[in-house]
Amino acid sequence: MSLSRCFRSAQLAFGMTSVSANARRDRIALVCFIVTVFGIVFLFSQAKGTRFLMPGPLSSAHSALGDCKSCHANSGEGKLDWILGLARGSPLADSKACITCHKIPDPAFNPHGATQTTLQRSTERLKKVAARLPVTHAARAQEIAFPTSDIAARDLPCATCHQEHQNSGVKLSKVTNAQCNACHIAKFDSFDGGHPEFKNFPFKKRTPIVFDHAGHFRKHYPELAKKDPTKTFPATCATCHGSRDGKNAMGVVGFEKTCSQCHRDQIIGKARASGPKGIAFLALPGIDLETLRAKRIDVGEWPEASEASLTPFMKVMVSRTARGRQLIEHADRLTLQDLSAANGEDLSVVASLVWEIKELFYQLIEGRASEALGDLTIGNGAKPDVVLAADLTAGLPRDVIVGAQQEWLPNLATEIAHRRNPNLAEAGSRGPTAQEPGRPAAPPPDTVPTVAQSDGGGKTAGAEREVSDGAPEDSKEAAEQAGPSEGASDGTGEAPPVTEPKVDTVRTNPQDCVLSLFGACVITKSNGSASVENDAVRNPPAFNGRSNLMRLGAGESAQPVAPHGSTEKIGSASALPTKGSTRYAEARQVPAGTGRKSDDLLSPTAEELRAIKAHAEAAGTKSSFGNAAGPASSNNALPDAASGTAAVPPSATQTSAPTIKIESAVDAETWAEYGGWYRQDHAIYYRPTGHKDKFLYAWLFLTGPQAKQDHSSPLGAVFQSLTGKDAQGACTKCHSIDGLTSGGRVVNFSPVSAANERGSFTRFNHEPHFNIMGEQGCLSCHKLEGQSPYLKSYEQGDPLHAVSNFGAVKKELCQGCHTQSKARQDCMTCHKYHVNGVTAPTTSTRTPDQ
Amino acid sequence: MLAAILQVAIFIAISSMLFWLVGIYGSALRDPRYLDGWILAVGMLVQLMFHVANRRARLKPSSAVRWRRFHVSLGYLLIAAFILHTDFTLPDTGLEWALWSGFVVIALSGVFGVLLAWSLKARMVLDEHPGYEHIARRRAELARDIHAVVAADNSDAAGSRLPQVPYDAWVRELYARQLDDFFSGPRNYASHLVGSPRPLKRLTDEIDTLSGYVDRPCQDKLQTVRELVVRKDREDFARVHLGLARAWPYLHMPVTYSLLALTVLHVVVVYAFSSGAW
Repeated sequence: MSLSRCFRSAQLAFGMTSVSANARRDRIALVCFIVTVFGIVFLFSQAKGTRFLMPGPLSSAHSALGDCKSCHANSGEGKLDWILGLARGSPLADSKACITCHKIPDPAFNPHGATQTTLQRSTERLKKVAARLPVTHAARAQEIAFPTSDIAARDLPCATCHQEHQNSGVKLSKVTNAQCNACHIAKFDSFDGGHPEFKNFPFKKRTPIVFDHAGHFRKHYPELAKKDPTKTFPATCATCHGSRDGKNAMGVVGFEKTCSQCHRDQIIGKARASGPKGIAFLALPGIDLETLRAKRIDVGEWPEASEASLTPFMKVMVSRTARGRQLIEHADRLTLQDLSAANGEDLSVVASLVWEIKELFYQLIEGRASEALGDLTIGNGAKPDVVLAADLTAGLPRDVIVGAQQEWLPNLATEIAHRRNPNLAEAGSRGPTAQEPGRPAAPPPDTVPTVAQSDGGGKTAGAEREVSDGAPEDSKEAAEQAGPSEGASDGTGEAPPVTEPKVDTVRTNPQDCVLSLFGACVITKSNGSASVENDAVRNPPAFNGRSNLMRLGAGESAQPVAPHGSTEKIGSASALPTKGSTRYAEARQVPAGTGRKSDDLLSPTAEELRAIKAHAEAAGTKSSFGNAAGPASSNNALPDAASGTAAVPPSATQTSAPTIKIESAVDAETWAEYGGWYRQDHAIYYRPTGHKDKFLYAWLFLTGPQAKQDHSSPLGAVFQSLTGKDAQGACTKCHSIDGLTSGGRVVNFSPVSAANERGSFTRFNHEPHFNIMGEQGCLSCHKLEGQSPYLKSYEQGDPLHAVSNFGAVKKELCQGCHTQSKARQDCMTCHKYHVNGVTAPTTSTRTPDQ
Repeated sequence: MLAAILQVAIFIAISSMLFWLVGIYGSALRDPRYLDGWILAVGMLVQLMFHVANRRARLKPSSAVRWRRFHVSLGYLLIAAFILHTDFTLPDTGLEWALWSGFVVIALSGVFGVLLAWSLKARMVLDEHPGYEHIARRRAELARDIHAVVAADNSDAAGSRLPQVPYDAWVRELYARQLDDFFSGPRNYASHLVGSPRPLKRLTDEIDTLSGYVDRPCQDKLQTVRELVVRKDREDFARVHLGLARAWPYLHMPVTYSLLALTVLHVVVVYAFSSGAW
């Protein structure tokens, strides 16, 4: 309408011209309409934003929200963009904005945030309840006129219950009984007005911690009381229980304050009457070597004395590859210690398994411990993170493995080198076959690889190094800088032609170790101590001692005595300097002129040696300082640091020096009485350190979800070994095991807490009820029922199949107070809508430098 | 009277039904403001149709009466719906205030118009009144008539030797003092607006009091004067009521149009910002 026409209308409307009253009224109405429209347009043009469109103030909790877009996903930025909201996208768009601040676990928009399974189960249960309840006319009318089933069947937007823009003081979380009744099949007005009877409340789900109250009250506490009659065990219920985490759960106080007095020894194994107190982690399983030999199957060296079994953990680690899995599956059907009935394929599998185990040991020394875990995955397919990987190996020291390898498989490096490079093996196996005892199987000296260990910083110097003329310059330099080395003992720096035969052999039985140094077998007794003598001949004592020092300086001493193929080889492989090797650096600085002298401080003098020998002879028993040629070898002759046996001084490695060994009456298992790693027989054990042992937790966490009931898989075997009745650590004596729908299982390590209460529709705040309890205290509501099959209910995996030590709470008990005239009785008093909780995450904060 | 009671009963019943319906709608996981809002919007549209029908269609008098009755009844129900929609609360924001004020003005003006028409006294007074346009003329006629009555001399001076009591003078004095002004224009607007008879009673009481002190002819004169005063008072009443009856639609209609514009904006905003609850 043009301005002139508008003006004319105004004239007519206000009676400036002669028109009828009705017409004038209409025109005034039209003018008002136009003025209103223009007013709105003016308002839009002048307003800074769209807040003037708000139907009311936001609640105080949301009052800081600046613009509409914060909550209204489709409102856009511009003044008129909000109109796009008419073309509705997802009905949950705004609700998704809600859960950016209010975190709700999935499925967030399902009724109650519960899963479809839970809802269906609840519906089925409530249908039975509803069948016994009268239905009001209003409820029936509502169901006919405005059915809610279609609404509840789809996702519920937050605004269904939480309606904003009401006022700053409105309580958004308020839910009325009518709203509850809208969906619920069982409709009733109030708690005392039709609420169904409780069914086994509050024991819908068994407690994560298995604690037989009846048994403890009947048996264990009286026994404690006999020991100390002045005390009451427990003093009160609050000795073990306390309300915490939002006051809704009466959680247990904690192991250290409650159970440790009696149960700690069970965890660390002190209370075990028989069997190993530690968990066999790595072991060389006993194998029927005779049969293998008879069938001429080459497995290299292997301890004949071993009677250990293949540990479940090793099965897991061997199974890290597809081939390994096949081997384990096959080997599980065999009796490794009796292969007399095995066919060719079986024996081949056993041989392959032996080599896999050797490879595993090799890798554990060569690489990181966590690498042995290979492609292990958690139940959901994710790889273990750094923390889990660390816990799975529990800080397994390399020295423990190195020590074991030196004792059990001293020639492992050579064997692996041959296996990886058959040419080497061919060159070295022109002698007798490897299976026969004492038959040398080492490669020719000029091609024998050596294993150089990483330094303390974990730097790996390569497992196999063959240095030739074409070796890198730095290697040569290192050899030169090392001064007189094994191959250049004359100090000239040139490599004398070494023509000695192999010094490392592959034997069925490892040779006795004559001298150990920090857990490493430095000198072995072979063929009448020929090795020692050869070494002594080849290398002057002082040099030999220093070469050992050099190995120590490298931080590790996993390799056997290095072969002397060439100067370059020795210089570069054995004496290659490594980072952080202080001792090695010190050794390198020894002046050439003093190279043949022994270290006065480290090596016993001739007098001292004589005195030691005399002392030993006088004692007439096994000397702590054994003779180099003496029978100072046993499985425990090379104990590692964890086994409690001290290392001998380096100078004792000299040819004429006796083997120095500190005997101890304390066996390795006892030495590790407070937990940790130790080696015994042909296995490396882990002894739990106490409650919340990370190693046990990590392995149970890892293997549980993948451990099927039949324990057929390696992971299942580990889980079974850690959860069995006599399992070390006894975790599952108190921590219950739940079955998963996937077939796996999970150990409940957390006690009752607010987090455990997730998924529960009912809440109960204990604290307000404390003041109404009578003389009986907690027993006012929780009656102890000693005859219930409480412990038996934990023999199956369904946590919902719960039997309690206590009687169920009846509705009548609550009805004593929660009536129309006394305590409140609306639905939300005892029930919660968001069963999985709603949390507000910590706001993101920019650091000052951002 | 019975019909009126029946109408009130029906209104209360329908309103209660509306409250109950919205109540169960709200309890069925729905936002009740959508239901009562749409009831309100559709009702307002139907009310607007009444206006259009009145203007555009040539309704028979009987149809017009039925339309009017429906319009009034629906109006009452819309007030109930409006109360439901606002949830018995006052608005918080400018736009809401505009909507609320618009509806309240329309509702009050409508109710006022209905009450005006429903007034028993008004019916009695105005049923035979020729119309607002004739009031001025009729008032002028009354003024002329009373002047003539008062000016007429009823004294019998020739037949009496003694000096006469000045009854006529008393009447004239009364006229000059009070009646002249009363008849010279519309008076007692506020009293007529609230239906108060007090100003009329004060005048008639004075006339009646005087009537007790005058002779028979003057009493007749005062009786005539009294009748003219009552007629003048009715004219004043008619002027107020007919004037208001003509005036309230000037408020009712334009504000309705403004509210229509605001309502359209309101509906668009509500649906544009809807967060999923219906």
